[in-house]
Amino acid sequence: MNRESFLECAMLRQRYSAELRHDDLSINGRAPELRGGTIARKAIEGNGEFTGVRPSKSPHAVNYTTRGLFEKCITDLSQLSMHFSADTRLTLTRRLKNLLSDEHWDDSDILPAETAFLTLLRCMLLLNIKRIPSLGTNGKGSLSATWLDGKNRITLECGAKDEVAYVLSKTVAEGKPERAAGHTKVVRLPKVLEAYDPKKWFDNGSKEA
Amino acid sequence: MAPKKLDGDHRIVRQVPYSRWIRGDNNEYLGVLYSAFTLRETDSYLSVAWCEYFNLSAEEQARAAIFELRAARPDKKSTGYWIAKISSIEEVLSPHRIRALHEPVEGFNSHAALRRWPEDDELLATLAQEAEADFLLSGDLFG
Repeated sequence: MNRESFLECAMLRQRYSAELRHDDLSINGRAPELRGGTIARKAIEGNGEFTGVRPSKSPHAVNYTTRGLFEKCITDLSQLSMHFSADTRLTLTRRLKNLLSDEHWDDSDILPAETAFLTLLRCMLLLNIKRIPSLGTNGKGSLSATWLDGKNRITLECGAKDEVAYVLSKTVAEGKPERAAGHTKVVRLPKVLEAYDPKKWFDNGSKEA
Repeated sequence: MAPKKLDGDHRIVRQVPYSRWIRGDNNEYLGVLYSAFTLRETDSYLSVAWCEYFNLSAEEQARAAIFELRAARPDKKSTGYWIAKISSIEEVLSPHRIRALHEPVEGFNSHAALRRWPEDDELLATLAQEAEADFLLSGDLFG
C-alpha cells in the first residue's frame, strides 16, 4: 500500500470509527482495505500480500469480488456521508455487508455493477428517502432496494451509471392495486414516481423496509 | 414419452437465495422479490421441484422435494424455499397459460419445468406478492 492509499485509508477509518465498530466494516472475517475511487481488484491479507482473486463460477464473471465491491460501496458512502445520518450509514453498511457476505451471497449470481450502490445513494438523495430499504440483487448486475408500506411495494433495481428499473404496486382509492414498471435515469425518478405518492414508502417515520 | 402435465392442486418448490427475499429490521422474511422468478438468459423455463412426486405426507413431500433441489443446486442456511400450488401460480399468470411439466433430470427426479413462463416484471411482481405460498428456510429445515 503506498503512502497516499494508507493516509486515505486512515482518514476513512477515522471518519467511521465513531459510528461503526470494526466488525461492521469487515466482510467474510476480514477488514476491508479502504481505497478511494478505485475498486480493490485483489484479495489482500493482513500482511498486504496479493493472494489472488476468488474464482467465480458465473459465465458473466466480473473481475472484482464481494469484498472488493463492499469496499467500493463504503468509499462511495463515505464520499456522500454529509448527506446521510449516522444511523442511515450504519444500517446501510450492515445490510450491504449481510448481502455480500459469504454466509449469504450466492456465487452463481452476477455481482451488482461497481456503481450500482452509488446509483441507490443518488436515488435516496433525490427522493429524500429516509427509510432504509431491504437490499438484494436480481442476480444480473443490479442492486435491488425494496420498500413496503402494508400491501404497497416498490422495488428499485439500481444499475450502473444512474440506470434504474422500478416495479411498484400501490392500492388506489377503490382498493384495487395499481401496478407499474419501467426503466429510467435517477434524475427522472422523482417525476416518474410522482403520481404514486412515493412518500408513503420512503418517509413514514420508520427506518426499515 | 411426453412429459406429464402436473395437476393444479399439486405444489412446486422454488429455491430463493437470500438476495431475492425481502427482509425487515431483524432480518425476518417479509416476501420475495419478483426477480426470484425471472429466467436466466440461458433458460427457457422456470426450474422447480414437484412435491407430489413423492408418495409421502404433505409435509414430508415438501421436505423431500427441497432435499432434491438442494442436492442439485447447493444452498446456504439463509436460502429460502417458496412453495405454492400450481393453480395459484396459474391464476396470477393466467394471461400466459403456463404449463407445469414433470421433466426429471439425472439425480433430480422431482424436477419440473414451468414453461411459457412470462418475462414481464410487472406480472412476476404480482406473482411474488399475491400467490398464496409458504416459505421455509434451509437453516430451519436442515440446521
